[in-house]
Amino acid sequence: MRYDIRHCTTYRYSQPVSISHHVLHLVPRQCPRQVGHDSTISVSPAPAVRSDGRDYFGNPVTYLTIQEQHEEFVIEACSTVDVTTPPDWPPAQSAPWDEIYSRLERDASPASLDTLQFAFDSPYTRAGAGVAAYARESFRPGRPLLEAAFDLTRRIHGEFRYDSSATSVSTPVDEVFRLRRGVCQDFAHLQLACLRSLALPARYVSGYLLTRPPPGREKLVGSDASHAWISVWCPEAGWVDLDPTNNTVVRDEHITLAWGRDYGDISPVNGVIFGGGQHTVDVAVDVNPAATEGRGTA
Amino acid sequence: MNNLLSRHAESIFWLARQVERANSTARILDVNESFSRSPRGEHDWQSVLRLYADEESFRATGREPSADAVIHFYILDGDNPNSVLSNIRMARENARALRPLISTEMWVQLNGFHKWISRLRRPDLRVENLNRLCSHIKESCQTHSGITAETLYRDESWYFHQLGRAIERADQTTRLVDVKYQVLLPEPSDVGSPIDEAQWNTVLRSAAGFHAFRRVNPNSMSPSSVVNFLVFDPRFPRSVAASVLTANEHLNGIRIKYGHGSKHGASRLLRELAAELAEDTAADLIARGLHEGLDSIQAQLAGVTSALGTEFFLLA
Amino acid sequence: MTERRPAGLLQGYDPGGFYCEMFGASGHPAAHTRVVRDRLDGFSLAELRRRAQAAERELFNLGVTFTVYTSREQIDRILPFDVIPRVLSAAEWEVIERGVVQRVTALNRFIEDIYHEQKILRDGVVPAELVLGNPNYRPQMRGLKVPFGSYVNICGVDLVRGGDGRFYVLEDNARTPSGVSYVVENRHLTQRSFPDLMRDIGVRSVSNYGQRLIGKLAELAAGIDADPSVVLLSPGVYNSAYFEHVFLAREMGVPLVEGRDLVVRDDRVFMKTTGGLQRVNVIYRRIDDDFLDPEAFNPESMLGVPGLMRAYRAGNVVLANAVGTGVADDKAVYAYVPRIVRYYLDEEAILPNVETHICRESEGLEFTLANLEELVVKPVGASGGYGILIGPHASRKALAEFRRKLRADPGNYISQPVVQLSVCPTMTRSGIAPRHVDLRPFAVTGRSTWVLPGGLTRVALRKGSLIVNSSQGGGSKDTWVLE
Repeated sequence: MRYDIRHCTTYRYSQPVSISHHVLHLVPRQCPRQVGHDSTISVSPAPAVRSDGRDYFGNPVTYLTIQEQHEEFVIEACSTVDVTTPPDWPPAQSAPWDEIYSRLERDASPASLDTLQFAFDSPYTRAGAGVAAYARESFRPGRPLLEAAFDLTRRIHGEFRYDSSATSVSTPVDEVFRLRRGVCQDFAHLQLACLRSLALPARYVSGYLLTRPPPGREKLVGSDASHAWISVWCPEAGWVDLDPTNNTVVRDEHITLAWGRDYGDISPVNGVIFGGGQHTVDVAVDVNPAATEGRGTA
Repeated sequence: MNNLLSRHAESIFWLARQVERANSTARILDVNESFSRSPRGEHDWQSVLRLYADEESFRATGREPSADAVIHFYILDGDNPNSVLSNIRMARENARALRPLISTEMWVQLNGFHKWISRLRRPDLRVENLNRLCSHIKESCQTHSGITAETLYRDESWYFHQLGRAIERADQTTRLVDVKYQVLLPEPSDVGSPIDEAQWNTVLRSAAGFHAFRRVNPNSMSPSSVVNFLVFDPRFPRSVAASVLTANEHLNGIRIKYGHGSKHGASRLLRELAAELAEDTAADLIARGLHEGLDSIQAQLAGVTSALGTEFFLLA
Repeated sequence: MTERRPAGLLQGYDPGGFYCEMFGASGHPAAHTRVVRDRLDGFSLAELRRRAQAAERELFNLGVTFTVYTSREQIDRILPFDVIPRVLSAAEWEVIERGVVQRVTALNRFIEDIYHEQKILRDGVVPAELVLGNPNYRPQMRGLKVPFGSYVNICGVDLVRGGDGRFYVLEDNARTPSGVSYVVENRHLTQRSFPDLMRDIGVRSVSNYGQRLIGKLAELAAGIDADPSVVLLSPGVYNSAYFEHVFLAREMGVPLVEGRDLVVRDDRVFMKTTGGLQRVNVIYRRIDDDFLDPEAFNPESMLGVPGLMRAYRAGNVVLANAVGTGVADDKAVYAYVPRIVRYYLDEEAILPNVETHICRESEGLEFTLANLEELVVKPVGASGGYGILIGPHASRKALAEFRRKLRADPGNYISQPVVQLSVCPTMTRSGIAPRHVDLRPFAVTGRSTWVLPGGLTRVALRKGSLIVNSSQGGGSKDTWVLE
């Protein structure tokens, strides 16, 4: 499926900003199930300095410095992406979860070490014994990894309520766990904390959901906004993407922007501003099937 | 060669102003106390409030403008940015940030000064102790100047220090003349009376200019001659004119010796002010309206400070 | 044969069975301290106290303080200075110096490997988890080249001397080691308050630390500028070590800046001066990685410079120490350093670790469980000072509880025997008495490593205490390395 994405972020400040720096993760990365085509990022006011490159996880990243005084800052990112559904791997045929870490450690190839780094706590995913115990209920000894991971996904989806007023960007995982509420970012961090408490490599993935579902299908929670889910490592199937907010395996309605250890590594728009006073943020996301097989019009 | 950090230039500029302001405040309170002994002096503690445009902030304390209340307001009130405590506290914080540049003696003296003030309590501020207290404050401020003159390395930071002190001095003198003049606008029957003279003496003493004035004007004491002395006489170091000339000299020093700053920024504003003061006379100033004239000088000094900020202290 | 001590200040001094820096192993006084001992014996206690008071006054006058901030006030404290120096012979120092250079070299090779090929992890010499799971591991440093592969430009290696008279490494400090200002100031104090003690004794100078340091930092930037501009980046006046930042900036003759004085333009670093923006090539930074650049690390840090990592990655600025060196100085990795030295240098460590048992390994776990009553067991995770077991002081119940914890999570613990730290004669309220000391030499690395002769000797001022930290009742002594 080919999709057109338009992601527009508008910052409004109560006082002028004299200078600001921003780091953007707004260009979809290449990955096995996805091929990116054109992508543009327009910024207003025009930045004095802009550099586009890749971060240490290979995600496209854009650095900006705005050096003229401004009270409004608008970023518009437009991309076109081809997404395919990854092949399914029968969950019961995946390796026992408790062997995965030691296999990677023994193998010790650069690729394995690269995978291993996602098995450890990161700033947004530290959690206590309660979360670890919660995770264990899905992961009895010897259980196939994917089976257990799907089970965990289902439980989080069933036992936690989507509530955008319950938490903020900085709410710790333990608090999310206690409240049993949150948004997609919280559920992703929670599931990562669960998996990492068992030394299982898992990544945080940011991206988008299709805005209007195909006929007959329900609209998924998290569309019209940027979305977050997780990716767990399976020796047979590679990285398998799971969405705890919607209790699905990722197929062709999710578009991946970037992955990292957690939100801190890849937040879509990150910045430092001088001045500004109070600020408000408006985010508008539209993801639609491309109008034609060629480049769609926005 | 490393240039002076903008932040350090700004800190030392304000440190000098803060100590000078504390010095002036102590002087004014001290003189006021003597003055208010005379029968006509009951309202005069309020004139100090007017001098610093503090009537509203004082009202916010909810107290009556008695001697005790005003003295406390200007010496120990931490919420009053014009109090000696506030100024010396800020000066000490500036000094701390300037540790890499200033001598240990400079730091230790300011640190000790601050410690002494912060240990004062209300009983220490009673009117009968005021004279001793203000003397101590003045001496400490002078000691700071002395140590600075002895130990601060004569690089750009020295110039910014002297520049700050001179601008503050000019500003303080305009306020002093302005307020006192309004208060002392004499009734025709008072002119030449002992009360009238006593009042002018007070103004001169507040500026530490009484004896110098008497030497220059042994026979007369008129509003005009006092204004002339305090505002225009370049030979009296605390006059507005002399202070502006000193400030100009130091700003030129920064430009000529270090190549920093432009001829057209703060420098031009100071030059213009100096020129005005050189050409004007007390009689003309009084005729045009003394209050407006002094207000205008204050505004120009504020303009200079703002221009210094843009030119040297604030870089985006 | 025991030497008969002359009557005097040190009469009646008894090291209490510990190795004494002044008198050596019990019954065998160290020959190199003879002159100092004889001179000290010529003083009365009262005279020594007078010298000590003069020294303390001098400390205040010089402003050699560290500041403790409470919600209501700021208190400037001095680090207590003990007038009796700690003396090392030239031969002893030669071993320490070689050992420190070797260790710093190995740590630098390790860090370089971790951020490039990760061969040591692939070869299974150090468990991947200890590195990749380490909160101080910075993925942003992967593939980034630093000049001469020198990541740890300033390193403080904490040493203790055991009952056998040998020096052992207790800990490495490879991030922002502090304390060198006391080393230089303590020498000044001795020279001012005790010149008669030092006269005609050849003691290696420490007063050129600043020049040596800036020389090494300039070496790092030789690729960017022939006459590089160096600054010291401090968190500011509210940091308790601010005095040391001021001291170092003065000694090096460089500007002391804060994050807000610097700005990044076109991936280059500049400082804001009265003459406009001035280029900066080398930053000796005394700010933790996490607060260095709000764009790359903790976004709430007001102390850092936005864009600094970008300039760093572009090779336009040198940071000393490099980002991410914390991966080498933590307790877990410490246990593996002797193996790290062997792996990169093919040598045995000249300065051994304190005997350490790694519970992650079955032999280490077995040994620890079997000897728990005699060991100090430390968790290696990010748990601060909590969870340490001091075997000899623990109750049976506490020991049993700890055994359970060990079995449940062995990978989290290392164990060490209680070290009999050496002592040094120290002035106390009741006279000259033995107090435990340690030693922190400072190594500076540009293209090569130079070690400041001696280092900081910290002394635990409370009787029997092994804790030498300034915040917990410690003091310091002048450290002499004889020529």
